[in-house]
Amino acid sequence: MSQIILLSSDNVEMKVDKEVAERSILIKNMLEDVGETPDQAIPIPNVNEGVLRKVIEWCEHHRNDPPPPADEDSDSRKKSTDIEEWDQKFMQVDQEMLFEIILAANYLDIKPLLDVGCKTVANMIKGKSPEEIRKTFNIQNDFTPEEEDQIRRENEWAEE
Amino acid sequence: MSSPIERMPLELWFEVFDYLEPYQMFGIRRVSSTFYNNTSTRLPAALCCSLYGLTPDLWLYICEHLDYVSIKAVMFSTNIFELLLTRKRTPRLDSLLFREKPPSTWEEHIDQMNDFDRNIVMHPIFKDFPLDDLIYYHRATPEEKKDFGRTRIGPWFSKSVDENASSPPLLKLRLVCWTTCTENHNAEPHIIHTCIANFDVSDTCESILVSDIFKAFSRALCEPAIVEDRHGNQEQVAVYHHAIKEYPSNAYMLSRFSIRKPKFFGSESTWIEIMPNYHYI
Repeated sequence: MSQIILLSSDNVEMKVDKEVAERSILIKNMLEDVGETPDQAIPIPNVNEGVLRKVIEWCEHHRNDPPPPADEDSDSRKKSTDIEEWDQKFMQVDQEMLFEIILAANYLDIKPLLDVGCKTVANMIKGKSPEEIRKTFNIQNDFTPEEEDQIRRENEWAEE
Repeated sequence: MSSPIERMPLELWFEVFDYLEPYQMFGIRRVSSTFYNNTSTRLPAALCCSLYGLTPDLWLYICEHLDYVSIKAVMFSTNIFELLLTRKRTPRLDSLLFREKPPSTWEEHIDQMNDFDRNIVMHPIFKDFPLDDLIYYHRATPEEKKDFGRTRIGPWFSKSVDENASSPPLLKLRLVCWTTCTENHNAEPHIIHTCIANFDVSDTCESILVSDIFKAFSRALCEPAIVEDRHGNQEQVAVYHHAIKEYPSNAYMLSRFSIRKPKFFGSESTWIEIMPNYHYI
């Protein structure tokens, strides 16, 4: 099985099965453009070693998954926040890593991984008050009390 | 660690928000000004979709004119309706929904509805609606509301009937959208779109979840369809968008939603109206 070398942003080389790397549409397109398996490392400038290893781990596990349909109905894709068990465990990382994985999945164009990441964040949001969401994600409340009051009044009926 | 708002572009946050229920966007908007300022169009769009294009107040007005069972059906069709009808209540809705003595038989229900009809001045557009044809009646009390959320209508046929059926047991949903001028409620409606959706119940011969019907209805409104304007010109657009474009200020679109019994079930195949939906534009 042919292998390729990926080069992380912090200059660490990683050997990966071509089939695994091609879970990334970005890499797959790159390889198709080149036409043959390159000898040189493919630079992945936006992803550091730690994150790239995690992404490769996910791709390894899902190497035999059927590719997602190109024009998948976004409505059906978004319906459920259910995450399969392996993916749930995979996403049990610190928040910094979670967001890095989402950013990497977006950059590398790995839609199923992006979906799992977004579902994980959505599940962290569900059932929480605005204050709890801020606390969870370390977001600063930048509203003035007057603004907060006005927003609360806008949709009073939907408030808890 | 920096704030994830700064770390992750908004487009990716929106991917996350797409997994939330529309009403959860209210909470999201209160988290930070970044979210608030960038969701001002997104929230109404999500709500518009959730509420089938109507404002919350208009839904309240409509529900005030529905019967007990229909309001319950609306209420438990989706989270957003439950939220709307339990939190943004009106005295009239309270009296309809949380009455001391809910009807316990179909006859009682009819009696109460007759009283109801006698005692209020119906909006003209409600006059011809055969609301009493509502095909499912459930003796729901507020305590039973969760069960009602899983309300099913039907089934209209049994397995023994199916075995002898010459055609597959499909239930058909018909959605007819039409417009008429608000200045003259009695004007002949101009039908802009009719759509038929089939429910295949051949495996189970089971009843249908009310919420599934609402979903089908919602899809039908948002899906592109051939619709006709007043001049007979046809174009393929989403029905709702078409109505906005064609009737920007002085018209409403009325969608009639009905179910067709399978032909083999009875001697006649008839359309039964379930509930009206009014789309003011």
